[in-house]
Amino acid sequence: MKIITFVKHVPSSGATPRIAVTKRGIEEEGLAYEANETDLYAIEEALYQRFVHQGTVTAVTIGPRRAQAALHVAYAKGVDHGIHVLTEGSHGTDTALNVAAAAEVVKKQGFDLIFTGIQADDDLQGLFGIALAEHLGIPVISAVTQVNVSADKKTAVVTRELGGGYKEEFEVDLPCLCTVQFGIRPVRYSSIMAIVKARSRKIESMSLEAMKIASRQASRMSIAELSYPENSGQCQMLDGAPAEAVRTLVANLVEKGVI
Amino acid sequence: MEYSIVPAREIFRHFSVLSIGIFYLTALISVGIFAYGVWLRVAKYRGGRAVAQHGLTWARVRETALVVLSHSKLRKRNALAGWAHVLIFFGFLTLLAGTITIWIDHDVLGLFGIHFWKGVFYLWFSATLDLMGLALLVGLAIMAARRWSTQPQFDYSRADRKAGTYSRLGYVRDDTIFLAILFLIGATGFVTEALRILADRPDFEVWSFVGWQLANGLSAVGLSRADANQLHFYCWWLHAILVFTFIAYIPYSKAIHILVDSANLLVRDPVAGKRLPAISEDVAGLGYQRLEDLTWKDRLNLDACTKCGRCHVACPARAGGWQLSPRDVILDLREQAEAKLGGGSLLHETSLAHDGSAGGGLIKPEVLWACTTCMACMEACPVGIEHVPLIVQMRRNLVEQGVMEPNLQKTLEKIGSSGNSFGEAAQNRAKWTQALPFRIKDARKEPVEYLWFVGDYASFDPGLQEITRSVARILHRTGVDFGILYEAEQNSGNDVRRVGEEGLFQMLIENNLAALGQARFKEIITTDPHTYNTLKFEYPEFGGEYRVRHYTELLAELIESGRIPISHPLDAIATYHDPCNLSRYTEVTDAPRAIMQAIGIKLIEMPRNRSNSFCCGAGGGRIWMASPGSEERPSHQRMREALELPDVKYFVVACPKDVVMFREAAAAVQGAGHIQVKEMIELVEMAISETVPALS
Ligand code: SF4
Ligand code: SF4
Repeated sequence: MKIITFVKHVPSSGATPRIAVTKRGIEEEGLAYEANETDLYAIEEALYQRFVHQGTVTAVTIGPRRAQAALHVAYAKGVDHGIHVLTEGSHGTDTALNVAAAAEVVKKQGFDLIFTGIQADDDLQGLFGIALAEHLGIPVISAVTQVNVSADKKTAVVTRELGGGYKEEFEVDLPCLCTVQFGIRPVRYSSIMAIVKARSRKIESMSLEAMKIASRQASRMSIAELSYPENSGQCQMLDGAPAEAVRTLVANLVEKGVI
Repeated sequence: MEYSIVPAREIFRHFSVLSIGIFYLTALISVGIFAYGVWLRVAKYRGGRAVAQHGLTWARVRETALVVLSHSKLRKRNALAGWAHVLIFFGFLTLLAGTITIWIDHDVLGLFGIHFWKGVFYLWFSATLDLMGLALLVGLAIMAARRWSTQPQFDYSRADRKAGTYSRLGYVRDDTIFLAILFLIGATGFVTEALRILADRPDFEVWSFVGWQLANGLSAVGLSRADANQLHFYCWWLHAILVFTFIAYIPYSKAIHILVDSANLLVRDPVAGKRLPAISEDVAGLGYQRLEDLTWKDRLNLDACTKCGRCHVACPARAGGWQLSPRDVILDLREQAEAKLGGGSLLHETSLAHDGSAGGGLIKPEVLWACTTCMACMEACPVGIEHVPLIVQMRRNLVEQGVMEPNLQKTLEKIGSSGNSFGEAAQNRAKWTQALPFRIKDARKEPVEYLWFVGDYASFDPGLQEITRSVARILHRTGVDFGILYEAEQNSGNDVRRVGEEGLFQMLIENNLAALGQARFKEIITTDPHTYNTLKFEYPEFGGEYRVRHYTELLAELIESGRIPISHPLDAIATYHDPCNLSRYTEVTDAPRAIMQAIGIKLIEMPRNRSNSFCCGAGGGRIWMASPGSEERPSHQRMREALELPDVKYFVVACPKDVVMFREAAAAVQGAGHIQVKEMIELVEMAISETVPALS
């Protein structure tokens, strides 16, 4: 079975990003990056499926040079191949461009299953997987929490999450695409040594030019402005013994008209 | 019968040539079986991986001889067992030396007609051997009584398996055989001697005082000289056969500890555990996953265990009801090694039901993750077994496989991305300094005398920052020229390394060494004993050689020299908890006590103090793990230990993690409400409150 996963290299949540003066992006300087969290869940699921059904797992990242680091993580987790589509200009947020490039890659590779994370931690669009499936004309299931591929590898039973803890089960023809929900199975720790070792693994590099995709060609959207989160709530620490603190709390709540 | 006037005796008294021939043949066979067993073991060790260093020097030989002869390690944790072993050890050694003496006289020099085993020498020889033979028997009797007492370390129950899934009857049998055979050898020796004396009654044999009195006793119960003469022959043979059996049995039983343990003490690593082994190139993975990964020294280590149980009772993880017992880790590995590589005991632990959940490794992950790397086991072990490096080697394999609990994984990921276990941005590292009324020098920008390596907990934990500021205030007011590394300091990596994440450790070292390289200073001081250990013992291997001390050492010095005047002695009663990393690792136990004395504290020691301290449970990365044990937590047990002491007001610690652990314990343990957990520096600040007003 051929499985392809996509992994995005995103700014890590540890540091607070600063908005650039143009207000259309964030300052790259001083940022640390990491592999997008749900994409790691997608990789774990792909590796699990490989364990059950044999085959190969390919991880693809689309982004600037630094995004290779996401593939090092993927290699450390155990994928078989890493492909990097180099897009120096875009910061990975141009879904149309990403989809066009991804479609080229997967068509060239051939596949039975595509796993992507449900969303990227930076832009939270949640578009990529769905748009890619549309583009390829294959079924897509989002927020997937379980995948059971049939023995003949022609269909799969896929569970997805609904609101309120409900679940929905689909039977789907392969090839298909799943956007994977957080926690589908535990993401194992990748040791630093494993990541360092993975740095010497071969990464296949593809350029947009070679795929005849002009950057921004497909984009009909642009960012108008980014803004910082506003302080909406307020927080007050109540000191003192528990009984006293509770009295203050009640007094405050009454004062604010809550009770 | 006629006697020569020169005191001596015949070796083969009234023996036929055939009997003598059989004797020598039996001796040969027994020595052959012994040699084969020893060879099997040697082959097993030789099959192990090479060791980078094993510290075998002349100084080591001297030191080991001293340890063995003085029994210092054996007597340390258990005086009775230690002294009983002294009796057995020297009794056995003397009898062995006696036998060799006779052999030289009879079979070596005797061939040339030279005999020295006679006359006055013979008399003193006889008296000495009788005395030491008696010592042996007394020692064995004490050990037997201990062995079958109800002490918990002797029921051999495993911490990691359910009762009924295994049987360690083999171990008990081995103990029994070992004690019994030695006892019988001693006893039959005396009886043989007594029978000979009774039969021949040479006057000078009164020097063999035990045999002489026994002969009197036998005579009193009516044994005739003729019967004694007859019996002597059989008893002599019984004694001889027992001795030969024992010799043959040695390499197949716990008796081999006579040889293996001496060797093990000789090659032990003086900084074992304090400086963990580097990653070996010739291991397939990063740590130990298979028996083949063990070095010859590790294999020797496994065979050295006599199951004395000292580590088992000292271990906080076992006491807290986790599945770990350091003894069982060693014995488990030994059973595996013996099954696969041969060269071992006749009697084994037997598995009654399968519970092999080792997850492809050598030891179950739950067992390995329970270790706090407190080193109590290694400190207690009389034969120099190095549990901690072994456990960490196996943890490295778990880390490589990604087998760990989520909390730990999160923390390691945080450290990997931010350089600290709190996952805070580096810029926030020195935020605690903002509440100080003065600025701490940036050692990267201006030279300082003391570079203070603050550590994660002291820097980021809101509950500890005031304590950290105390240290800064006192140093500042004393006029100590000090600085910090600000955002360039990262987690020192001590516990990361002990978790088994060697790559992350090396990354942290690299970053810290880069920061230290930018700074100019004479000496490093640390608030955190964990940091202290790795800076002192592990950084040099990576090119970072510095003079490092704990702040209590500096403080003790400043107080003694009068630079910190104590204006308000506290006049309070306190007990002091020695942090593992300060007592067992870096061996600082006097400085904190000197400080307490200087500030007017009356110190009452807990039963387990200094190098025998009982771990709070936070070390070795345990502070980042949540999996609970089935018994009361080690920190709570420790708090109870303090509660046993009369009138203790302060429970004093000198480690940031201890403050966290024991404040929780004081709040949770019933009856500990009156005990205040204090970091040493808080007390010092109280004692100098007029000279150094609290400023924040
Ligand atoms: S280091 Fe401490 S916790 Fe670990 S096995 Fe030894 S005694 Fe137990
Ligand atoms: S490892 Fe050492 S302390 Fe522990 S039981 Fe064996 S000999 Fe005793």
